[in-house]
Amino acid sequence: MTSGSAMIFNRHERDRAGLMDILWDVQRESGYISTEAASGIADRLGMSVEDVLETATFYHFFHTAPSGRHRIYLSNNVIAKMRGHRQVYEALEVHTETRFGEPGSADFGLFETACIGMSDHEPAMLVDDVVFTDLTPASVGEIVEALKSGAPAAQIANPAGLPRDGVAYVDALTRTTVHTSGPVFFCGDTDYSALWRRCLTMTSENVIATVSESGLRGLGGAGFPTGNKWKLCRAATGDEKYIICNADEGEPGTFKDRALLTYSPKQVFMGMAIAAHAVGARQGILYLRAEYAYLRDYLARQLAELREDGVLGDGFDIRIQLGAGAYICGDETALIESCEGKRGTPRLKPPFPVEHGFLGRPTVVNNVETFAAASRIMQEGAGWFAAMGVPRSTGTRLISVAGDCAAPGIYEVQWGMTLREVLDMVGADNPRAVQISGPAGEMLSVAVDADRRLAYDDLSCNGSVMVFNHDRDLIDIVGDFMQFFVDESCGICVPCRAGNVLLRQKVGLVAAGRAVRSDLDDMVTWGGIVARTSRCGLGVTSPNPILSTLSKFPDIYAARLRERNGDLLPSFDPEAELTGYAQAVAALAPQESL
Amino acid sequence: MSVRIEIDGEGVICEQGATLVDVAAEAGIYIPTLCYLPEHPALGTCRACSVKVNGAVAVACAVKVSDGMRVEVNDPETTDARKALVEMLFSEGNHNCPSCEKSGRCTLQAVGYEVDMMVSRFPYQFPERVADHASDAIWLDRDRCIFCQRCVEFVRDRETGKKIFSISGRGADARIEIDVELANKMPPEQVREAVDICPVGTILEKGVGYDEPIGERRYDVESVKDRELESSRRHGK
Repeated sequence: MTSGSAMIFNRHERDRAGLMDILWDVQRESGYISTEAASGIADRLGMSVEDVLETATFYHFFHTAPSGRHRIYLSNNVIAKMRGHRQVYEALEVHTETRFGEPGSADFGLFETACIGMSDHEPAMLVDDVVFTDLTPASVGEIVEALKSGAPAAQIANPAGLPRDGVAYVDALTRTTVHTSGPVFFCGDTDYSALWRRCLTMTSENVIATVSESGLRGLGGAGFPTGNKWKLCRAATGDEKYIICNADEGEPGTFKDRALLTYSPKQVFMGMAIAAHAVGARQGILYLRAEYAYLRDYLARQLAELREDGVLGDGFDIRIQLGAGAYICGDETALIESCEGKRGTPRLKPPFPVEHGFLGRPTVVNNVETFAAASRIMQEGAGWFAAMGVPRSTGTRLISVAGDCAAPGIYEVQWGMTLREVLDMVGADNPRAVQISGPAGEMLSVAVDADRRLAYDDLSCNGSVMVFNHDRDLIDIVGDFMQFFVDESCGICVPCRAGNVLLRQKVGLVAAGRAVRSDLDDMVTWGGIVARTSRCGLGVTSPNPILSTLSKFPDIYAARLRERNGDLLPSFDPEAELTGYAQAVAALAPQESL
Repeated sequence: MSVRIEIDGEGVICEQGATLVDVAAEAGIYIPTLCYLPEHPALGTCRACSVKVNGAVAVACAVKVSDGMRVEVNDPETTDARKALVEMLFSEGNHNCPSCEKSGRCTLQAVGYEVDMMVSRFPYQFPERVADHASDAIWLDRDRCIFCQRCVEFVRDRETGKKIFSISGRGADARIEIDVELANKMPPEQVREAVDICPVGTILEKGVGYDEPIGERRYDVESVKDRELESSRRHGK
């Protein structure tokens, strides 16, 4: 074992739950996790080497082969592709003299990655933990040349040399546009020490009652009543309980949690402290997606300030756990597994985390926005919050708007707002379709759905709103979304692992104009099987892009269908098959002559 | 505590909290399984035991029965979904029964017969998967792996409890791995246990093979359905 890895170990507990942090240190130090390094980790933690690699190979940002001195991850989300992703992709290949999908050079490794929460500033990329936005072929040229001349990415992104734990630095990197101020989010300065002292005078039961009466439901998307979750966790037996904030904002198109963590981190942490008081927890974890690693120093500074103010540290404290690139970790049980140093595989439920969560102990997992809302509810009262919105969907929520509109960015809206009102507010440009709640949500037709309302029992939005105008090819977008699910399926269950590949292939057939009517029927039946039999929310929702466009935009499919002509299925491409034969003959010929 | 549940309209008396797939088998109702092992924690990976519980699809290996539960095993939609899941496995990997050493005692093959599968409705993917023969006693044929996780969870180094088998990668790129050093420490009976626990022909013992004549192999003698029902009758009574 090298002295470097000995130093890494000295920083960590001898405990599997520290595996993600150890892997990150090795990855940063060596550029990849070698078998030798994995072996050292395995010895240290009492695991087999393959067990260490089982975790390491699950995550997108961990590499088990050399991946270059600078690792560049270009977001390939659908919004990027509407904004010049292709040109940036090619420029990166030219300037780094390496190619995406290939091993790369000593200096550069190029990788495509799913949405990095930058849909308001695509094309965007991560270079060594730093984000670069609004890319053009010219700007990536300059960035790569600067990297070649030895400048660190952090310095290129921050020419002014702003301190990395200050909001000005994060703001300079991301330049988030928040269009609204209040009532619940982004309302300016709050005296959190005073609010904390006031909460401590309330009993746990009263805190839970207040949150329940407000009607607050989980804003990550599932909409489970927050007060109930806290109550169940409080009632669960166990000396040690945990509060986890889900900051794995991976749903393509959404970036509102990034904005909250940038401009209102204390409101979020305050919500966690309130939850801890309510359920009787002493430890909290902010599970921060690796795509937001540039927020870490800033958030650590905010936590330190809360300790100085006496909110944290005495009875309850929060640490930051960095993820490593896996959409599935947005699922609360996958997230818990990841916190334990394992693959991000969703658990079988029941038991639910409120009873059996982190390290088997009762755990509350809530989204960033939910904690921020809870904090504000404790400040303004349950009645104040419940007076907003509509029955069963009280209060407000944040939406992240991107795509074909004049003013992308973050908006706070009251539940009950219609899609038409949202589109008017953001200056939508000739909108035809709106993907709500990301690929896992629904593709809405503006012509049909404009008067539907944002509400848990109608348009249950998780914060992602992507607007597409009449010039966009919706089939391409559906194909892109299905590829996303293929890439992000954890693979633990059959329907999601194998079924999404099959569905993706069918969309490919439609896009290529080689599908017949029966292919569409197959997509509906197969999609239904995947949705009904999958183990977690990923597989349950992954057929949605197909199923919702087939129902809302049947014409886009019908227009690409081919009539069956003769005995051959249109999906059978005789030319390709015969070329394949010729290639095989050519490849085998020299062997025969040996 | 005894409770009453309903399976396909028939009342069944069983113990509160028992596993649905076992309860059904004791009542003479076969629900196909690939990853489930009685007396072991449910893995819930293959989903082949999907049934309707109170109207919603759930995997019977992970459902604990409670009073008044209404279970549908034979409704056409779920029956077809179970068949489809088995077909997905056949199209996902490379399964060539006639040349496979496990043929006749392969649970995937046997369950394929049980769900009336003739051919997969899904296009065969013909993935390229490399076999691993580095360990002394085990031949790891990745073509046939269905990622059930039985070996990963239930076959551990006897001395340290470390994982011998594991999965690398994720999604469609997932791959079964073997820790050669630990595998070489496995006593012969543990190797045979690993071979036996594997529901397909992925974990094979080197140096032996094709020792049971066709007609006398495990599932030639008794179908997987009869075996499961028989074994639950022995356990139950």
